[in-house]
Amino acid sequence: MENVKQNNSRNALLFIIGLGIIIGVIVPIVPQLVWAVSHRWAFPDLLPEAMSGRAWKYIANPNSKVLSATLNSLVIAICVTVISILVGVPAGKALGMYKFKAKGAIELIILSPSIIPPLAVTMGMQVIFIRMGLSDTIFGVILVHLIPTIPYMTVSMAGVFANYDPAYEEQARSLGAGTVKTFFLITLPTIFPGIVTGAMFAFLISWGQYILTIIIGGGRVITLPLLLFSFASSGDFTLTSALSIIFLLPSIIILVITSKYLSGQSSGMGGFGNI
Amino acid sequence: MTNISLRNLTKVYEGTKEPAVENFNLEIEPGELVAFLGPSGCGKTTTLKMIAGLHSVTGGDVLFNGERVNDIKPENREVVMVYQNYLLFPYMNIAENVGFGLKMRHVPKDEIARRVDEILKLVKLEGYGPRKPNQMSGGQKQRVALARALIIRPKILLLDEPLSNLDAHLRDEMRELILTIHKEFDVTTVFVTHDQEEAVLLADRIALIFEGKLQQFSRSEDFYERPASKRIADFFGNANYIAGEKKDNKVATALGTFAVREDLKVPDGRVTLIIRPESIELGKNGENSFETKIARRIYMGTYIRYRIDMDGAFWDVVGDPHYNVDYDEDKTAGFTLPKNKIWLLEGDK
Repeated sequence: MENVKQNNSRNALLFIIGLGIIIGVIVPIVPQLVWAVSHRWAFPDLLPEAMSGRAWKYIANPNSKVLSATLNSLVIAICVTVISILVGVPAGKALGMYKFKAKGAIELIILSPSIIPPLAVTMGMQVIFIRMGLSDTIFGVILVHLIPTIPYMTVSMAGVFANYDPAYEEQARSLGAGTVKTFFLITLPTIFPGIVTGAMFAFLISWGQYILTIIIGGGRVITLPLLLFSFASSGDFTLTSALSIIFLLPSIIILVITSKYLSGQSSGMGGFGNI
Repeated sequence: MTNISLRNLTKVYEGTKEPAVENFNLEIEPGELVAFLGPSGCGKTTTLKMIAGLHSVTGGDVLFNGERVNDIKPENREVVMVYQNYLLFPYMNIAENVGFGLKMRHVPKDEIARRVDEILKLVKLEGYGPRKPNQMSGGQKQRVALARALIIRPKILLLDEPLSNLDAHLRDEMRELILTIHKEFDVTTVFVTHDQEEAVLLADRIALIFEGKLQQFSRSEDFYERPASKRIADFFGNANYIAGEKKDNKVATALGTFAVREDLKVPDGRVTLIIRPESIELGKNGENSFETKIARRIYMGTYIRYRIDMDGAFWDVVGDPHYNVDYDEDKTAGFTLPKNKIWLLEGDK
């Protein structure tokens, strides 16, 4: 009986949290969905006067730059994610598992971009980037996006590695697994959820980046947030809403993957564990 | 069956000057169950890992059946280590964990399944295959870890503190299991422990290690009856000491002269006489008897413990478990040191 009671109060709590998420996250999206396919929708009408596929036609039109901007955003976000993993995993391993000289100072250097507002850093960086010819290029934008993502990835991996016991690898070796098998069967599965979490957030940080892109890209490198911003300020709600939906897609996909994939049990799933 | 020889084995960790293991020489017989005993940080686990190939050797050699294995990788040594905290792979179920070693040896799937069932039965975990490690208790995890090691029929089994993470009642069970397994698989087994009781209960022979140096390697009886130093005597239970001068199988002390066995290989001169509290007889029974004051009488439940005055120092004496003899505090009583229970060390420091 006690158990049933406990379950009931637990369910009630889950229901309230779920309701909060729906009200806070999903409800605001509903008008956008409607806007995206409406012709005119004036206050105080509950539904739009007429429906229209105008926004989607515009998006599909190659001259509209929406597709190329989406592609830009994707390429940049993927490159940023991959580089963040390549830098963040070894850096996180070093910070999480080893003791070395000046560790505190190195930690500070890695974390400093996320302590100082990126805008302040970028203003100075722009001058250097212009001199190096990196300004107005996709490559430059990728580099500048790494400023917020690498600290994130590193800290997240440091948490994973702080909870990681290298004796698991020894155990696998002594059971007959060579170094390659040990890496793929033992090390990787243990730290993989941590990498996935860090990578997805790195992707989202880059995907949603506006200020860093416009400063370093100088308006030449057009990404989705830049287009979205210009449509929003022009007051075209239909187009803005349609673009927002595209903009939202990765977040939704990532949300689904995280909830499905990361609910498993793993010792490496420390996230921001004790570093 | 495999014999293990450690020859001048030395390990110095990078960035340290003091060797963690220094000049180890040890011969472990095939099928023997040996304990590496010592306080934490004494180098016993380091030695175990050098046998497993998980730590490189700084100097000296590790030999299996006379063959040098220093350069053989851990995965090719057929030596399995079982860790203190079990280290079951968390994302694999019990059957996958146990079958891991066979999978690495490319054994066909159905044979793995059969052998996993077989060994789970042996460790009394039949039907637990589909469970995840986090659904198992500490004792069960330990048995899974043992099964995972034994399934590949290793040449040598290495156990790191096999009983120390378990509750008292589980320890007895696990001790029985280890002894059964050791008998059944006839595998040369080395385990590491800081607990002398654990070592005495399990091992055929014990290697006592202090500060990276092997102190004594012998049967557990020898540690009690023939310790190589005062420190070793103290590590194994209580010991009473008195300094004296040896001459012609007699030791003259402040409390009288005691006769000792003829076969003790200690030269005449200054010696330390050692006797265990439980070896001292109550009452004056002829040779080697003396009288002294009972300073303390401590009731221990199953027996009585006396603290007797030995010329300023105090000795412990284990009293009669049947209470047939019972001495009062502050009274004088007789005691006898049986000749064959007296052990001598050179020097009186």
